[in-house]
Amino acid sequence: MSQKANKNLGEFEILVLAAILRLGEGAYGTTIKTDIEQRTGRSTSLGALYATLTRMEDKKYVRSKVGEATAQRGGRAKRYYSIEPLGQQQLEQSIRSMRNMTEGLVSWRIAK
Amino acid sequence: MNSNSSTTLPRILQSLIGWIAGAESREFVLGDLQEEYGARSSEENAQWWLWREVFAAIPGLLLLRLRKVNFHSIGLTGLITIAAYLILILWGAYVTRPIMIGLRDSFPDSQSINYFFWYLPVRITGIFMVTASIAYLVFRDRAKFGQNFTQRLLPLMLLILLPQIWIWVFSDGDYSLVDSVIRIAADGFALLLGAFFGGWLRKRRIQK
Repeated sequence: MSQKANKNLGEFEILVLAAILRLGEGAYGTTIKTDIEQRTGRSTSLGALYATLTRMEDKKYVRSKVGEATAQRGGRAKRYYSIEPLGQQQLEQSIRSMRNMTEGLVSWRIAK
Repeated sequence: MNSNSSTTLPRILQSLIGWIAGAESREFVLGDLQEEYGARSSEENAQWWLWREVFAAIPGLLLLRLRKVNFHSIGLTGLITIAAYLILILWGAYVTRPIMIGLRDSFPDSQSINYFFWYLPVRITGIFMVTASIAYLVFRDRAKFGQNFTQRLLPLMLLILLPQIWIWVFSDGDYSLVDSVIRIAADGFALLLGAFFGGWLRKRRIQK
């Protein structure tokens, strides 16, 4: 694996990739943002979300396609996102690293 | 869910977000905002939520907009320009000017002619050396010559020449037109020659 591929993702990148993976075909700006907010309780800005999505698209972690325009969006189109194999690999590796680092620590804190 | 005027995004907000997000992301960001705002429109604090969302989105959208800007190149150009200008000021103050004043005073009868006669070999030597050194450090390969020239060396040349053009345009008798033209032409020629020489040296080193 290359040095670049070994680099762990940032926390927000992990959340965004996980949301895309969970949402499947229906992953676009609003649904990704809502999913992250509901599951983590953290406030997410659209600006940060799109900056992250664009950065990950440049890195070939995700790809996007333009979807349909709807009336509830004021006639504006959606941009759907899906995860690429490299993105999935990065996500798995980052989660594995996090688990390796926190496993014993979490047990110790709970036991205490 | 409806899309009537009460749930339509305010025009000023559309303009603000549209301008910051740029053509590439405008439609999707405004669409997402509209969709979520429409879903929250019945809530009491929907307006407050909307404006908070907009202000929270601005930094990220600005980053998105600026991601294609080559800050490294701009920063390097700025640093090189400042460094080159400082070197030229020091060179002028401690080397060029004393020599030229000494030479001018040695020929009091034909002050202007002799001043510029010596100006060419003395001052442009400094400009040539500075520019050649910069070009040597900056030019990496033949393919990037145009990019380096426009992004790095051209701003440098303009910044060095601008004060002299300013003197030429606004001087009120301290410098004659002919004198100013000679100064600008000489400095400009030295800059170009220095850039070419530095680039040529760099390319020779790369080819070896």
